[in-house]
Amino acid sequence: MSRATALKRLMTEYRELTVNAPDGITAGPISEDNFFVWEALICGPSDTAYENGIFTATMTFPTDYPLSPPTMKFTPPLFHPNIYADGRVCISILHAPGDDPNMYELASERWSPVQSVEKILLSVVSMLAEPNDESGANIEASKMWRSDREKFNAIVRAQVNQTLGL
Amino acid sequence: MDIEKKADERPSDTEILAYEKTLRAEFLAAPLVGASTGFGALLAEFHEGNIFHKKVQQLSGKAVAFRAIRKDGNCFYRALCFALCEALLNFQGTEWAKRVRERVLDSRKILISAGYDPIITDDFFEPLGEAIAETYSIEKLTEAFEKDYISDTIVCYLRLVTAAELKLNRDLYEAFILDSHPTIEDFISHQVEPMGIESDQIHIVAMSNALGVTINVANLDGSDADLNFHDITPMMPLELENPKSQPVLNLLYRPGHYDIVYL
Repeated sequence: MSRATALKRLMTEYRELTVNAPDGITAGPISEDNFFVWEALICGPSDTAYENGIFTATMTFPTDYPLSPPTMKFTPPLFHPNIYADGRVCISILHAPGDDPNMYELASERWSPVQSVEKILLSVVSMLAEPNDESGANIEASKMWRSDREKFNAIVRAQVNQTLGL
Repeated sequence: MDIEKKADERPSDTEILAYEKTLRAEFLAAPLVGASTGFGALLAEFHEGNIFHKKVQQLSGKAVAFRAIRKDGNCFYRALCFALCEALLNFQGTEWAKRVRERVLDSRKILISAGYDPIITDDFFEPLGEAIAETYSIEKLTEAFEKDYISDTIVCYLRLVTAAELKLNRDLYEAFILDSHPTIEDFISHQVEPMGIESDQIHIVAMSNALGVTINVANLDGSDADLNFHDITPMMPLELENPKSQPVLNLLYRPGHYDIVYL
């Protein structure tokens, strides 16, 4: 029963995202056979080091979605303070309360069953534009973001070029 | 220097979190809704001479039974809803049961007025709709509340009813939240909608008002006084010919947690 409800909700969200796609974002199931794994394409926000990049991420939904949030992983991983070295995204909206590795995220937006894939993706776009350097998903990236912005931007731009096949 | 210091303090956060995680795992191993029991196990949680021990003793003199609810941050909604559904079964055929059912069914419209999309919220309503049906039995109720998905979906729905009540009658509630949150909406998205977030007095008052039920909370706090009770009555009571004959839903409060008691 739970799986059926999750499936219905995912299909509704997919339709909504297809009809009213927000700027710079597309997302949908990788295969029609499995609505619980999606691929998202995100354009790097302009006026940031991620500008012009198109980044691919996989979203994996639990069978009790939307009671629990999905997980999201950039493939290939993206150099960013809030993205782990293996590509997993670490932002508050992807954490159920009590499952939050960063206690200081209490003030930020968090997952609830009335959130959506679209809201997650919009949060990820803002995360790319404004990293939270207090979250230690990628400590090296956090430190560099704070202390050596030029070097940080250079690494990101090299990754952007890679995603474009340059 | 300050930045370095901050970075050094992080492991202690991790340690705190690790400790919380151990406690949490212990709590999560307990049933969502336990069996109805006496007060022995609850009494054993506190040392003799402790103020809590004394208050549980006082409670056991007044109450006939206790039902433990899992400590997962959803306990208030889960306890309240189980107590409500149980009362509906015990008071089957009464005017009260009829009016409460109407309120619960009407809540779907209230969610729409509060701006929720029924395509999303109707899915959350379904298990509660089944649990309040006249054809239900205590066996079915216990079974349903023990299934994570059903039980949690009911909690989720009641969270949205609470949120809708706060939003639609914001004048009543705003004064109580504005010192900690800039708007009712911010309070709702942080303290009401997310699963696992604990409830406070304001959530209880909102639930009582939304459902039209009287909630009596046995207050097991650390204060050095006798056990006291908080009686929360709805501002918009159910329209009953004989309002005195309606059941009261009795909960037991301990800091950070709610269970059910039977008085």
